[in-house]
Parts: sequence; structure tokens; C-alpha cells
Amino acid sequence: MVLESTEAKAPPAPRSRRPMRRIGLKVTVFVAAALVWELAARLANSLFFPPLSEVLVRAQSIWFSGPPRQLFVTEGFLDVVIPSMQRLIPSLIIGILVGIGLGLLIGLIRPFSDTVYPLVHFIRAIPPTVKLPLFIILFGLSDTMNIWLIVFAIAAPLTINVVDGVRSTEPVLLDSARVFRISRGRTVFSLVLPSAAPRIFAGLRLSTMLALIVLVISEMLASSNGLGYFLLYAQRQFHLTDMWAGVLLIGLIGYLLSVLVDIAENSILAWHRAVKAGSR
Amino acid sequence: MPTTMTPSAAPAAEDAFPPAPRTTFARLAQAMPFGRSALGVAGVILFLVLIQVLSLTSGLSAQSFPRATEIVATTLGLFGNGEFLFAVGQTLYAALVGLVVATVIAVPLGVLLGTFRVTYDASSALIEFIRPVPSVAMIPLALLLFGATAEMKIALIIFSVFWIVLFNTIYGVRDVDPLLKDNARIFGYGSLAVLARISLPSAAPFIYTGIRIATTAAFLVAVGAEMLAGGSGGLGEWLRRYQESGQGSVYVWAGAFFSGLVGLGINFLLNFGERRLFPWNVSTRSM
Repeated sequence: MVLESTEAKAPPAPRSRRPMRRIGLKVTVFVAAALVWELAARLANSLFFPPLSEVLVRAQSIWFSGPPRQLFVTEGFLDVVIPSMQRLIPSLIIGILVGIGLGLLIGLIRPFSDTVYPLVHFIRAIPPTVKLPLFIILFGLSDTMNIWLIVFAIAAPLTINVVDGVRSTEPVLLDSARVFRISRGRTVFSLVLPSAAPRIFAGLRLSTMLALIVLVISEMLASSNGLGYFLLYAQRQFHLTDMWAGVLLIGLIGYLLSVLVDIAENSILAWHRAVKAGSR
Repeated sequence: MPTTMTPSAAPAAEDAFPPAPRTTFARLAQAMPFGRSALGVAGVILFLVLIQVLSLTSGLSAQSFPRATEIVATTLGLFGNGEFLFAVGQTLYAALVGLVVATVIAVPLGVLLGTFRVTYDASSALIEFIRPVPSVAMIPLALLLFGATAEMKIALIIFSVFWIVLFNTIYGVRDVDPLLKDNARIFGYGSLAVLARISLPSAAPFIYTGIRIATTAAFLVAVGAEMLAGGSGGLGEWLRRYQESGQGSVYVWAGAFFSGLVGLGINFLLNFGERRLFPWNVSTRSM
């Protein structure tokens, strides 16, 4: 439910004329979904599906009832979130740098591409969950293992998106640059990179979501703290309300990550929107 | 090496700098009998040499970081290993059933939601809330509901894959050029005819992309679920067994290599299918 199309052309931008109507609709849908959850859970009265209100109350008491100087979060919250962030943030940084760097090299240098690109496809074709036992053997049950696993999981698809973006640069523009004897370095920075940028961001969006997936599953299988471990522990203790609170918290983190990518994209790609709007 | 200029009709498929850079490396490649594929082979050999060197220098025992030759030999051996092939078959079966069921539900629903403005707006708002929750977060719940069974795996795959196909269908249907639909209406097509002859064909590449991303996700989730739920069989349990035993790490390596090859094969088939089905919309979108 988390992976979206890596489509370069974005879905029809619904950020249209009436922003108020859009926000109103979002709020309505959100409230409706919350009500449906609450009512359905109360009617079903199932142990597995506690009502939303109970989940929220529980989340508040275990995570968000801390002292003001700790920004109202509890020790329990920090114990769960900080280890996960210590794995997620370094791996995102390394994975993104590797993905973009490798993608540029492969996209720009043909012989390098011929040599290395098949291997990137091969490594990508191994599902991250299949890599996991291998990485446990190599790195042991450590944060290093989680970090490398996420780096490998996100760098390969990002590389492929960057390569596609670089290769879809308008050939006429490239020829013009060559005719005007613009240096290769300048061509890359002021022509290839900007025209690959929408594709790079599509890859980034996918990578951040994939990173969260791999983080959670690797913490379930090979860690003794963090979000994934919390979920599995709650399930094993039969604390279903805790488990659902964990699901919501992971969703919230995923949402914040995607907002972060949105902000970066909007500030860097403002020109792209303008061009697209002009051509419509 | 291709030295011809890229025809501008198919810009995406070729290089950013069509004429090959005249480096020593490039000339070397050109001099080789099979040029590009020779470089590909060289890449694979380099990769194996790298593993060999890392294996010798990593400080890990040959037990946990086997030599490249041993890994390759074991990988080849897996093609004739009945127990292993059965486990892979279980995983592939779960992924396939999950994909088919999810697609059969998600595509019609997506078409319905994407066709009308109101349902499109509402569903895309809802999607914004559901999308950030990784489906693997549902594995613990699925374990409780279904136990360590094949049904658990399949239910989880359906759940993870359903959303991916649904989003892509909704967006695909919404992305149809309104001008085309108007034209069809002018020529007297009814709503159903517009749907069948305009909307669906033009949404089809989007839906296909969804299914393709879903395929990758299905394997990820299937193997993950198998690892967490010992006893449900499949590749995940097989790998986990060898990893935990500490003996025969080479099988974990070989299993990973094997699934890389299978993944490449599936990818190739999907690419081939895309070219055949939608020759006007070839791309290399992937996850």
C-alpha cells in the first residue's frame, strides 16, 4: 500500500483552482474514515480490531504524555523511535548519495553502463527480504546490518530512476550544447540534471517509502528495539491496542517523510510545474 | 559501441551522449568482438572477483563468506535441488495468487473510482492517509488472524498489492486526455463505449506499471512473511533455516543469487509483455 508508480509524469495535479475545497474534502474524508473505523470496531467488538478512540488514548498514554521540556513525548516514545531513526537517517543519506551518483555515472558513461548496469539490475532483482539473512551473516545482528540492508534496498531502484531521467534528456538540447561547445561538466549541471530532476524525485519518493518498509521488516526480524520490534513485541504479548498504535505511528512517520520529499520537490521543481502548466 | 545519432522519435531509450566518448576504455570496448555484451561479461567477472577478494580479506570465516567459485557452484546446484525448488515454488505460487486476486478486485474498483470526479477526489484524499503505512506493518496482525499458514501469506500479499494496483488504476483512468473522451462523445459513443474504447486502453499502461511494481512488492512481502512465520514454508523459511543453523551459509548466498536470476527473468518477461501490449508506451519504470 505504500509503493507508488515511479511515473515521471505526475498524476493529474489535483492542486487545482480551489485549494479550500480540497482541504475541506481531505478533512471530510479523514473524519469519515475515522468514524467508519470507530463504528465498525465497536460493532464487530473484535479483539483484533480495537476502536480508533482506544488506540489513540493508548498512544497518548504510552507516547505523548511526557513532560513539557521533553516536548511532551515519553521515554517510551524515545526508546522506540530513536533507534529506528538512527538506522533510517544514515541509510537514507548514504542510499540517496550512492543512488544519484551511480545513476549519473551509468547514465552518462556508456562503457561504465555496459559493465555495471546489469549488476545493478541483478542486485535490485533480489528482494530486500532475501538479502536480509545474507546481511545478518555478513554484519551480524547490528545497526550496521540494518543500515546496509536499507542502503542496498533503496540505492538500486533510485539508480534506475536517475539513469532513466538522465537518458531522457532531449537530444536536440544536448546537440545544441555540443554545437555551442559548452563544456561537458556544465552540460551535466545545467542541462542533464535539471531535465532528469522530475524522475530523480520520483525515485526519491519511492526510495523513502521503501526504506521505511525495509526498516520495519528488518527490525521485526533482527533487532531488539525500534518500530518493527515494537510491533512484533506488542503482537506477541497480545497487546492489540499497542500494535495498532504502532501501525499508526509508522504511518505518521511515513507521512512526514513524504511531506519532506514534497517540500524538497516543490522548492527545486517549481520551474517544472510552470512548464507543465504552460504546455497544458 | 553505437556511434549513430539517436533518432529523436525514441529519445528515452538511448544515451544522453549518443556518440560514444572516445576514451581508451571505449576504444577497448569497440575493439572487442562483441563490444557491449563483452563489457557486460567483464562486469560480471569483476563482480565475482570482488566477492572473492572481499571473501579473502573480510576477516570472516570461509564458512560465512564463501569464495565466489563456491557460491556460483552452489547456485548452479540449486537448479537441481528438489527441496529448494519446491520452496521457491511455494513462494511464487503465493505471490501469483495474491497478485491475481488483488488485480481482479482492484482494477474494476479503480476504474469506477477514477471515472467520476467526486469519487476520484475522495479516494485520492483517502489514499494520502493510507499510502504512508507500510504493508509489512500488518504482518503481525496477519499472523494473529491466520497463523503460520499459506493463507496468511496470500492474504498479506493481496492486502499489500491491492493498493498499488488500485492507485495506478485510479490515476491511469483520471489521466485520460479529456479531449479524446469529448471527441468520442461527439461521435455518439455512450459512456460504456467511451470507457471501453478510450479510457481503458489509455489507462492500461498505468495499470500495467502498477502490476509490475506490485510483483516486486509481492515477493518482498511473501519472503518476509515466511521468515517471520516459521512453518509456512517457502523461500523465506528455507533461507532462514540455513542462516540460523550457522552451517551452510553458502546456501543463503546461493539462494540470494538464485532469486536474483529469477527476478531478472520475471522482469524480462514483464518488459517483453509491456513492449508487446503497449508498443507506444515503452519505458523502463521499475522499483
